[in-house]
Amino acid sequence: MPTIRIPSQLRMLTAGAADIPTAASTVRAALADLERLHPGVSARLFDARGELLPFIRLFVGSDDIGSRRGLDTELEARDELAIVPAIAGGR
Amino acid sequence: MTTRAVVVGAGGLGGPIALALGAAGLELLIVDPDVVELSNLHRQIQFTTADLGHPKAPRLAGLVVGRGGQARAVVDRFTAARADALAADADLIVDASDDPATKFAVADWAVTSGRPYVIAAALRYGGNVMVGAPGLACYRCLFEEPDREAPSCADAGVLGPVVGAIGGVAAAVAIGLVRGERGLAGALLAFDDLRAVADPRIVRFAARRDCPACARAPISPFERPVKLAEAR
Ligand SMILES: [Zn+2]
Repeated sequence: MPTIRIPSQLRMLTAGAADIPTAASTVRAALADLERLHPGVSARLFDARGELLPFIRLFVGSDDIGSRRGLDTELEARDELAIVPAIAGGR
Repeated sequence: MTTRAVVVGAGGLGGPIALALGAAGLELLIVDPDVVELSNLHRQIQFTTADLGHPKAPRLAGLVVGRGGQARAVVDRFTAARADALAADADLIVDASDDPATKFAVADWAVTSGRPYVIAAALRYGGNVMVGAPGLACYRCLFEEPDREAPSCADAGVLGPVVGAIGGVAAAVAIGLVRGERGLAGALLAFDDLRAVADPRIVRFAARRDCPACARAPISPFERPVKLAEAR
């Protein structure tokens, strides 16, 4: 089963879970699954028009979904979908 | 020939970065507007209680010089308007600030001036290091604009040793870049939780067609797009 890797900034919305398994077969369906399981996550990823927020990137393994089929990129059993937000900190 | 580097930020990331680059023989300009506060000391281990209330940049530059390196300091913010004046003669620029707007100012300046750059960030238990070089997709291609509500260390906190680890990685790739090492150029190293996993996720990404920084770059990333599978 593919898993969704939740960044630490969003784990307060997933009850602390870092890896969420999903039965979904595309990135879009996996994120919809995630929202069903943990309402509120979507609002931190997408704007009101359903576009990915500019400071969030999605990778399947090490591939930017933009280099594949975007949100329609297919997920296979061993794939990890990683949500990578821009962070600023460490001063 | 002397290699010059600008280090933007003299805190938790900037400390280890400046000490490492200074020890590697780079001539540094350290830029930071802030003074040392008590709440900084757990992660900004270059400072002690004797530094409280003093500006960070000159204190850190003093440490670099005290160890035989070369460093100057500017107590100011790095902004697009001041970038040329601060960094014109730099061969490399490293962002170690905790502020999204500063990160974009550093990256945009580096891209449009054709300089290699490193953007470092740490938060809670992990961090990101983006390795930029002319002709490759840039920080603004990756993250189009700052998250204005992004938590910073001041409100979300960061584990003390995490900034040291992320700063160390940023310094190592920066030294690699100025030595001509391109193995990680164009990559984002994302460290998720250093308490659990030491390895970063290393990801690459394509240049964004409408990226305003890349549109002004002297070496366009659009003319010879990096083949992602090849670059890995
Ligand atoms: Zn760009």
